[in-house]
Amino acid sequence: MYICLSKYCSMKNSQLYKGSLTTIVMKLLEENGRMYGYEITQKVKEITQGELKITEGALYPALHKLEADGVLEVEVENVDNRLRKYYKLTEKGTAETVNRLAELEDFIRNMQALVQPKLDY
Amino acid sequence: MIMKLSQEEIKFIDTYLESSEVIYSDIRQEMVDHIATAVEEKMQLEQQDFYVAFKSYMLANKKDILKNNKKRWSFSWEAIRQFLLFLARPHMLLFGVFVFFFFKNVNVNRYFSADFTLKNLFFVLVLTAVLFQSGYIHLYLKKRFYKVEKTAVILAFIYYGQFCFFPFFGTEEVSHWTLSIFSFLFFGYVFFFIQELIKFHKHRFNFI
Repeated sequence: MYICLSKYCSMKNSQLYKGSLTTIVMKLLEENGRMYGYEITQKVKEITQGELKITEGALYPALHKLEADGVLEVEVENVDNRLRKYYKLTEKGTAETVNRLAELEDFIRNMQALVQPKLDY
Repeated sequence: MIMKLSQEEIKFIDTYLESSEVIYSDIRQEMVDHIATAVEEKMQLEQQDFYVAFKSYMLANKKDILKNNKKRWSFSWEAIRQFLLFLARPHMLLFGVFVFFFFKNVNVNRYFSADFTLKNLFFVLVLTAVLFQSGYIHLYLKKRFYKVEKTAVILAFIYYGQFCFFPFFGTEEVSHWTLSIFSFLFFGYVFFFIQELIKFHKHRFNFI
């Protein structure tokens, strides 16, 4: 199964993931400290064993929005003949990640209860 | 051995993006790194040379990568949202209240006739901001940055918005509402732009 998070992706399943994109990114940054764009796409692919692909068209606007909201901050370094932009959580972003993850867990728990009521979460 | 692109190959990607209408340096810079990293990985895994790997990567991903591109004067809801959030900050609201009471209680009509305000003052203020921004970008920065230019859409709104004040003008006096709203929006924009410039300069080395 292949799922993409692109705005124009035609896969029906992408709708389920779209609202969680920023939470996924924040969670990864919480675990890894700082990451650059390509690294984030590859990490998601690796964790989900290729089932979930975050496209560039969805990732960068999300990162820029989080940066503008003060959730992320940027560090730029010269790496291999080019400038690389690393993103990391701000203090506000770290607190926000906790809230977002709690919300996501609630959502998953509720969905679980709705679609598989007999299964313990 | 991990394959790394040379400076010429990085320059090639940058030029390719520039010719694909990615006009803003800050947006192009991030795209260059993304493409270069993907191409390096492809060269490594598939034992291809740079041009083959680049061509095949761009064939598969160009459309998606260029979705990030902001064309000149592109409309940005994000810039407007940031501006509105800025206006809603307590110190700006306080400024708005101050401006309102100033124009309500101080008779400025001897200096601001409807004719002067409508035909000259609003226009001259907006034009000054436009000229300053253009000069700053083209003469001082000499490169285009989306971070700096994204605010232009707000200025365009203020410029066209001033025409909405037309019906509120009486024949003799300018309404204090007109002066208050325009002053709040215009000076709000000036403060917002200065704040964005300070942020940009704080990280300017990031983009050069």
